[in-house]
Amino acid sequence: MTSWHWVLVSCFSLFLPVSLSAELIHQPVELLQNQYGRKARIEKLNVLLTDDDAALVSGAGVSPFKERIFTFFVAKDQNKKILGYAGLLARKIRTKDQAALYFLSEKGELLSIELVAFYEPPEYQPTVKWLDQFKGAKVGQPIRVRHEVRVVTGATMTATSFVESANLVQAVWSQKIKGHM
Amino acid sequence: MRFLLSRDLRDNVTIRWLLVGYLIGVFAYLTASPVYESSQLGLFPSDLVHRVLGSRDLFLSPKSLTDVVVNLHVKMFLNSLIALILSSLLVRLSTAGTSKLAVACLFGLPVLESLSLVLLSQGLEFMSYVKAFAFVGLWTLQCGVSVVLLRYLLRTPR
Repeated sequence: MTSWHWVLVSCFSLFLPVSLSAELIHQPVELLQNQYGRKARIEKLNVLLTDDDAALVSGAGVSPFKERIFTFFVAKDQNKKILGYAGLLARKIRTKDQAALYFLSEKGELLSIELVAFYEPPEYQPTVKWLDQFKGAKVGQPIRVRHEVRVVTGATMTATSFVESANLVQAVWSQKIKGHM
Repeated sequence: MRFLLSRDLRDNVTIRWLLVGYLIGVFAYLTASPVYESSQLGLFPSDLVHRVLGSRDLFLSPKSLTDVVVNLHVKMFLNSLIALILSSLLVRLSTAGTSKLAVACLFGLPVLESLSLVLLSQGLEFMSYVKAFAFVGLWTLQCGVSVVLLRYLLRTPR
């Protein structure tokens, strides 16, 4: 092979690693099992917001939202006692999609946020340490950027998106799931 | 005053090295092109279908026609620029049937790639195969023609 052939072959090899790039960070089921254990029973709840429900959720200090269908999971132990909840929310940050699982306690307190998918460039991806700031956020007390949560320099839209999503998940939980299980 | 007319581009040192520089630039673009393409739409038919038509399992929303056109118009401009320069050099080098076919493909494949992407965004899933084939075909052709031209330009004229 001449050197020119090697140039072409090495250029063509660029196709190999890029084809194997990961699409998803975690599967939601995998995250739920990690959080509540493999023996926990996970039930999926599809929540539909009517216009009246949406108005009530909006009144809870949540930023304007377009979503009307939400996916929640409820984890129960062997005795059907509720261990906790998780809300799955997929949204666009800038131009690309992201999805995250918002874990809530049985009282609706935010336990943690886990990334499911993140298609924006990796420099906009929030770190685990940054996401830990959301821990302990209570229902009815919306989180605010630059107050309870620091802004990430150069990734303000990411920060805003996660704060809005966390508030929305808690508000929807409070409106549609709390007391109904 | 006497003029010496020559069709050999290598006789003019300035033009020769300008073209070598340009072709190196084309190589740099072609090296990054698959990486960029895979991050935007994907290289393989299954990736293209997920990214363009959306996927609930991967949490991807479908791309609108506007998004597709915005992505396309930049690529069309770059590909036509490359096709114009490479084909004008190629026809000076050789007018054999192979060169004519290469020139036709340099202009035809970007059109085929764009058209298949637009049709894919309208729901024709099998167009993902045409799009993937057109991208790889065009990329290989641009690399190959650039190599041939670079070899020609770097060789000392007789």
